[in-house]
Amino acid sequence: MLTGTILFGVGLGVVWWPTSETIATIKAQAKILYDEANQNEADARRASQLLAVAKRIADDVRRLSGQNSQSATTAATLALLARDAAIHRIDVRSIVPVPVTSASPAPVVSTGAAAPFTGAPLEITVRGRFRDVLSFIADLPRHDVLLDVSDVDLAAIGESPSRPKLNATIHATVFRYQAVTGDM
Amino acid sequence: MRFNYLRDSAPEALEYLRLGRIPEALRTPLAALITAVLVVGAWCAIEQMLLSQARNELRAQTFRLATSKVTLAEVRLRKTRVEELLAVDSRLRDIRRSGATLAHRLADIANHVPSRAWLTSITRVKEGLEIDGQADGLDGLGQTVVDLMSSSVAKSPDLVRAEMQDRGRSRNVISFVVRVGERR
Repeated sequence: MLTGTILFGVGLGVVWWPTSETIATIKAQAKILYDEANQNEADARRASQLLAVAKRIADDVRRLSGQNSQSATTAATLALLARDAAIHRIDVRSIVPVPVTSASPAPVVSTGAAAPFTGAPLEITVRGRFRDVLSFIADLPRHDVLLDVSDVDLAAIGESPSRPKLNATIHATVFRYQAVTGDM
Repeated sequence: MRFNYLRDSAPEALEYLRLGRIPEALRTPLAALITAVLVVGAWCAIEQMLLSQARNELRAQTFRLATSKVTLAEVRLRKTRVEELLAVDSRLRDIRRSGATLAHRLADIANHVPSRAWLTSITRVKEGLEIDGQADGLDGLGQTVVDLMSSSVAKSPDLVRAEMQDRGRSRNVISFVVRVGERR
C-alpha cells in the first residue's frame, strides 16, 4: 500500500503532471500551427489558377492597348480618322490637340489603378449626317489607337430640317499605355 | 587480494551486501523504494521521450508554417498584380466602349424627340446636356419634354428657354433650349 502510494505520489507529482502539462501545451500550439499552415497551403493551392487568369488578362491588355509610341500613335490616329471618315461618309474638318494651359496641364497622366496611361486631349471637328456622325463616333475607339471619346457638341448646319447636316465637335483623348514591368 | 571460493570464507565486503545482513523490517520498504525508483525512472524516460516527440512536432509545424507563409506572400503579390492588370483591362475596355456608349446616348435622345420637333445642337454643360431645337408650336415643345422624360439616358428635362420664330405665317415654329441630366 505504502509502495503504491509512493509510486503514485512521486510519479504523479514529479514526473507525470509537469511533463504532461508541457506536452499538452506544446501539442496545442503545434495543432494551431498545423491548422494555420493547412489554411495557408489551401489558399496557395486555390491561387495556383491565378497564373492562368493573369496570362489571360495580360493577353487581353496586350490586344486592347494599341500603339504605345508617341509618333506611331499620331500616325495611327491620322490614318484611323481618314479611314473612318471615308467609311462613314464624314468630312473631318479639323484635328486640334487641346493646348497646354496652367489650368489643364497635358499630357493627362492617369493615377491610381490606371497609372500606366498617358493621354493627350484632342478636339476633332467633323461634318456629316446625324446617323453617320454617330456610327463614326461609335467606331473610333475600336481600332489600334487607344482613343477615348468623352463627349460631343452637335450643331445643325444648313436649312433642311428633315435631313440636316451636323457639325460635331468630338472631345477625345488619345491614350498611350505603358506596360508595367512584369505584366506582359 | 587472492580469494579462493573453496577454502576462503566470503570477503567482508560481500558479507555486508548479503540479504541476510539487511534487517527483516527494512527489506520490504527497501524493495518498494528500489521499485519506485525504477518505475519512476522508466516513467520519466517515457515522458521525456513523449516531450521530445512533441517538441519535434512543434518544430516541424513551425517550419511548415513559415514555408507556407512565404508561399502565401508570393501568392498575395501575384494576386495584387492580377488585380492591377484587371483594373488596367477594365479601363481599356471602358475606353474601347466609350464611342459606342456616347453614340447610344445621343441616339436615344434623338429617338425621344417627336416628329414635330428637331434638334439643332446638343452641348455638354456642367449639369448634363443642353439640347437646342425647334418645335412645331407649344404642344410640339410640350411633347418633346414629355418624350425626353421617358429616355433611358436623359433625366429631368428642364426648359431653359422657348422663343417664337417669325419665319412663316402658316406654322408657329418655336426655338427652344432644354437641359437634361444624364443617367449613367
